[in-house]
Amino acid sequence: MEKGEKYLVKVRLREPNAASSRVVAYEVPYQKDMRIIDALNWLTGEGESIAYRWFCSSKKCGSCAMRVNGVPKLTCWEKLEKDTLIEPLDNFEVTRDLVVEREAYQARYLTFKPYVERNHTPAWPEPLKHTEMLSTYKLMDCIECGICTSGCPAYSGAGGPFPGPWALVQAAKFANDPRDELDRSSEMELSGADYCMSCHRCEELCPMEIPIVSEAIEPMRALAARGPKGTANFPVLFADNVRQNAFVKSSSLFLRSRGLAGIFKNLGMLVRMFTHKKTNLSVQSSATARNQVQAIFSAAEK
Amino acid sequence: MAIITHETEVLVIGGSAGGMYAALNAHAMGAKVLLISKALLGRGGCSATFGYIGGTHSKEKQIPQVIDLTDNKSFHDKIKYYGHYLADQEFAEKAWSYNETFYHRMEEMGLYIRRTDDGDVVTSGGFGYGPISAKLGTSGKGIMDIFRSQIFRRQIPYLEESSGVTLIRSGERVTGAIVFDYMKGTLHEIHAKSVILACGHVNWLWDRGTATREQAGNGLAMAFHAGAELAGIEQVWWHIADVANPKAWMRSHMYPNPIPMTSEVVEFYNSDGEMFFHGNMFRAAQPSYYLQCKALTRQIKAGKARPDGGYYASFGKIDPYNIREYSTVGRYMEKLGLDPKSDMIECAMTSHQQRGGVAIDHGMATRVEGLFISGSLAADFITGIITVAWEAETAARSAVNHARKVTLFKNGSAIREVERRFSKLLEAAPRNPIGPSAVKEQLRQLMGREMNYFKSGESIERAIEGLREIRNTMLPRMQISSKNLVSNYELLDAVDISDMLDVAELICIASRNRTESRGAFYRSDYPFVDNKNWLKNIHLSGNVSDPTIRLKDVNLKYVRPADERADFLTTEY
Repeated sequence: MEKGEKYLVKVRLREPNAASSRVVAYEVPYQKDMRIIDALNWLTGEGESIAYRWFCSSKKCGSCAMRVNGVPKLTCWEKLEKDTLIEPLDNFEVTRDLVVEREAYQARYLTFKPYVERNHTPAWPEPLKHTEMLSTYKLMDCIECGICTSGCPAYSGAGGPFPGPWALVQAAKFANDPRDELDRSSEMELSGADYCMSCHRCEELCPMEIPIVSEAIEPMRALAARGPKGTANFPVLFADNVRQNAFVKSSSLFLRSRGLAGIFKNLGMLVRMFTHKKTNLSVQSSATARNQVQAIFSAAEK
Repeated sequence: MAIITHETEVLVIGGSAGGMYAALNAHAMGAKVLLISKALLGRGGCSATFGYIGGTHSKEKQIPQVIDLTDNKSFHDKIKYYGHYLADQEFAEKAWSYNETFYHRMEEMGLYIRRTDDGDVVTSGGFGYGPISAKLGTSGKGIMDIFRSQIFRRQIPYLEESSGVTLIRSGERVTGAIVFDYMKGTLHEIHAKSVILACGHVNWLWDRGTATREQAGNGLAMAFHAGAELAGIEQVWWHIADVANPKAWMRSHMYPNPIPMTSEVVEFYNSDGEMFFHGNMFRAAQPSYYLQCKALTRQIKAGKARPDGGYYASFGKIDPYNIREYSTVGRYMEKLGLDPKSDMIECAMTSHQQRGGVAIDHGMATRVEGLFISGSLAADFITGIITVAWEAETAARSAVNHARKVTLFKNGSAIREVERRFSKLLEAAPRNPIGPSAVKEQLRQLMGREMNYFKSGESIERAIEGLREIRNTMLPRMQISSKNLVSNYELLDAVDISDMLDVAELICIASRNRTESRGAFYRSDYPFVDNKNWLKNIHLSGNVSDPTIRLKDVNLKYVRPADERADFLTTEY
């Protein structure tokens, strides 16, 4: 690629509240090692009106994520391709052109108490080993660019049931911190963390290479299962049930997951389960099957 | 335009270190606080991009080093290398003493200051220079995350992506501010008993700058127009260690400090492959930004480097494990397909921070009642997160004390003036229109051309003339293409450009008046340090085009320079 060679940059523009958007094509002279955001900066430097959010342009502020040729990317970090379509991030409301609304998202994750809560004032230097901080240390890299949530198939908007990986990373960053002394299980059991499908798309997209599922989502689901209401422990009970029985023993799952009040309230359903032959108390799996399933669980836990 | 009116005790304008820490302190003192951030909270400005924690830490004792005035050594070094003998020495003494409080306070709030697997604090260099959070290169981001988390925790009200437009003046007092929420397109009329400005010391007024997009000199301009004095704004630090390409990464710094856990530093090579600078050349001076500039100047004069490239940073002598584990410098190289061990990365000169700023007393008060400064927007001539934290705490205390003494005064005239100004900008329909962002770009090109590190009397005059031309010929042509106010960056740019022009012109005027070179400030027509005449700061006030100029002697209570006059390019400050 020659310096000054023309690159085709197409940008999706949309006035606030407009019913439709339009794609405008520009020619941008190539500069050495050009990033995607350099093209937008060149265009606005020429006086073009394109609204887009960016601050540091060096992979620290997380504000310049956009959808580039169909994939959410950090535009300060990824190089400009010869033919590039730049659009706003999916899964967020667009306010204008390439700018998405972040406030509703942030308001939701604030309910997860994203801060360290201590009961005592530590001395300096506080006894602390790097090995104890490893999980939080990885999550500290999160720049809240929103790319993970933008690419998440389980996320359905700020009002949907799943808070999205971004919010769970922020929650886990503080929950996993050995210095934090707050019981966060009640916030987590109401968080909707269980809607994650463990597809790992967030990890594939994360520009900071954060192990989102293993360090944030799974620990937060485990925390949710310990919540005082007991409403988020179903996946744990389900897994236990399969591990013990080598199949889903629905009667036992029903009894264990609902609590005494729930059992009485849903007695009708239990009766129907039996009358419709959806469950059977006497069915047992073979010892071989149970061993095999337990081996799978053991391997997965490693 | 929709207008939302607020009443508060302490209004803090600035959403990074200086602003958030001031807000936290004022809130802890029981005041009602409102915080304004032009970027996303904690994600803009210099604070989010700085790289290490600063201060010094005893490696053996694992405690912060106390600055020792009695043997004069560490204090003198800092005054010489950081303050170029322009800092008020009693002020510096107070601010630097925060070294002993800072680490403890930050970890209490949840910052993780990097430990080894054995639990020792990770620092670099033999004397424990610069602890880090996460990695060298991202400590600022980590500190901002923690301040942000504490703002959330204490539920301090804040407005993000909202820019201070003007301070409200009532007689001789500042009684609030008008703030533009450019994301929602609303104006906020905020009446406050005390106002703290914390807009930082980095402004994107040059084509190459470490400043981020929102840094448009708003803090300096608002304070100046409210009647405060600006001091030493000609003192602009330049970097040589920022990435040349891609352009976006001109804010990415190849830190001259030793890589943590080593005493090894980056080396700089000229276009002939000769090493001409490394950070250990001046042990007491780390980070030696302006000494790098002098070294590079000699290379440029010899034709072996250019201000915009042709010289390179090398990490070849540093253990790759330590680069990967403790620093972010490698990631930029790797992303470009370079190997930090064997390849070098091209760098270019970049404007950085203003050492001066708004003139303050030791309580961070300006000469205007009700107006206080937090962080590096102050004319402190020293820098670093520890200084900023002391300044923030001090400003908060002064602002809260002031707020307890006065009654709220609600002056409704400022909002009407801002409304008129915004309407005029939105309705302008010039014949030969130009986008506001292009005007910004013209200003940066002009400043980069005429007011770069190598400026002279002649180039300063050309810059002043060029700025006035932009003001006279380009501003009337400015047009905002969309009348819808939501996420209207064009309107924000059009508002910013006035402040940028004012601040740029004031920088030129101060530079014209300083007839010597020193520390961060180089004039090629006065290439000597003149301690006989210039242990003084230039204070500006009044009107931009014809400001009142006052020279103020520096408080040299503890140490003085040894020489009366020195050759700038070879002396160490």
